[in-house]
Amino acid sequence: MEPTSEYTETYDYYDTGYNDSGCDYSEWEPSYSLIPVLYMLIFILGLSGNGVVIFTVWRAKSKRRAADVYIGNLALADLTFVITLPLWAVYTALGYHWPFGVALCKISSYVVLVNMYASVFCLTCLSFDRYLAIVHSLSSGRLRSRATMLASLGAIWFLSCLLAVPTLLFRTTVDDTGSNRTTCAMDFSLVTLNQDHESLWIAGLSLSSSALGFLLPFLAMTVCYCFIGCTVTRHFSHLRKEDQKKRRLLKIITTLVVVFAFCWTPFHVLKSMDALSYLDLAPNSCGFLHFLLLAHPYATCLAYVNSCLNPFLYAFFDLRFRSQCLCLLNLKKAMHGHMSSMSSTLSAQTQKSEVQSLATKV
Amino acid sequence: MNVKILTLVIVLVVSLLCSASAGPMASTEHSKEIEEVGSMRTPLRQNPARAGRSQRPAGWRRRRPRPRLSHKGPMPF
Repeated sequence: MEPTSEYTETYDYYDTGYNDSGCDYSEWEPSYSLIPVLYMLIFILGLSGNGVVIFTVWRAKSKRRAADVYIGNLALADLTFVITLPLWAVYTALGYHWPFGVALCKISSYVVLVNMYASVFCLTCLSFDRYLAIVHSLSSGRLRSRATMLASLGAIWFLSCLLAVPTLLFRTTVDDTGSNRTTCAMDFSLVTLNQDHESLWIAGLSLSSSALGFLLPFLAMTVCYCFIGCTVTRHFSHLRKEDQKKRRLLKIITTLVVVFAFCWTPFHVLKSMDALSYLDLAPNSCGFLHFLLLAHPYATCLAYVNSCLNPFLYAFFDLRFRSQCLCLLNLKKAMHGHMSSMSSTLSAQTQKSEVQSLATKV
Repeated sequence: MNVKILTLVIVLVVSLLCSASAGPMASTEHSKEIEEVGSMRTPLRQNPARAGRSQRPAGWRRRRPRPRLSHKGPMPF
């Protein structure tokens, strides 16, 4: 009972919107309806878009590039990342009441964290692969072998599963008898002696997840692209046809990285400021903390948006991907047309020929 | 005349000393009140809290309870 009482005490302050220092932490009422709508939109777009990417990469008949395998895994991570959003939409719509039980609280939180890490690690490996292909194109053959790629993918998922373990351990449901609501949140009462000790745990985990899940990977990607930029600039006027293809793929991956940074930076900045305020290294005034609490759900939405933007980036920038996708869709249409009538078949064959011609040009 | 002046000076000095010592005493009383309130609110955690306080670095303040970001979704930790 005692470990729960401290948590309940904290939650009571949240429920009433005030704590013992007189701060008002009331939620902005429109958030209870706006955030769930955004979650569901992201869910629909992310599920459909990433599903198409996975299908295209899996069914592609042409030889898969190393980048395609990473992009496929990135799409898998993004799809799994958004798949639990309906639960969180309901949670928010009910005023942060979790009706799905302890198991789903833990599992859905864990899945989100695993795939958050997996997404950023896939992007990092994509960047490193491009670095090897462009900067060390003559000597990177062994490093870019199939075995190495499979090993790196294994490491990505293993490391992601490992780094997300704290959420599996500490996420739980806590009942608040005063408001008849149950929250799904981190509970450190099993490992902490007092409030100060708990603050250290919160700050430590929060800062470490931002460092490992955003800052360090982003720095690694930046370094890779600096070297790539220098190399491309040096040899810009002597690009061969094969190098032009590499450069086109480079644009796609660069765009993915820029969009990633745009979507995730606000989330990690807010989270880190919150963590630092627990250590008295950032402002902890009422107004500042209230701002963090109000802005956090929207920063989270922006982070989730990244997961459903990636498929559209492929569709717009990667001609090869678009061609493959059209071929697959056209094959299905051709099969359907053949079963219905000869004229439809003829039309489908014509379209297929056009698509093949387009593929050849690409 | 000199005896009177000397007596007055001594009285003034003693008064000043008494007024100066009143501040720390008031602070001490306030601290005791806080401890009593804390004891009433969380009697079972009193000893660990005191032990923790005695070992805290200078300037370390007790955390104000507040809502956590983890209430609002699957991220962050």
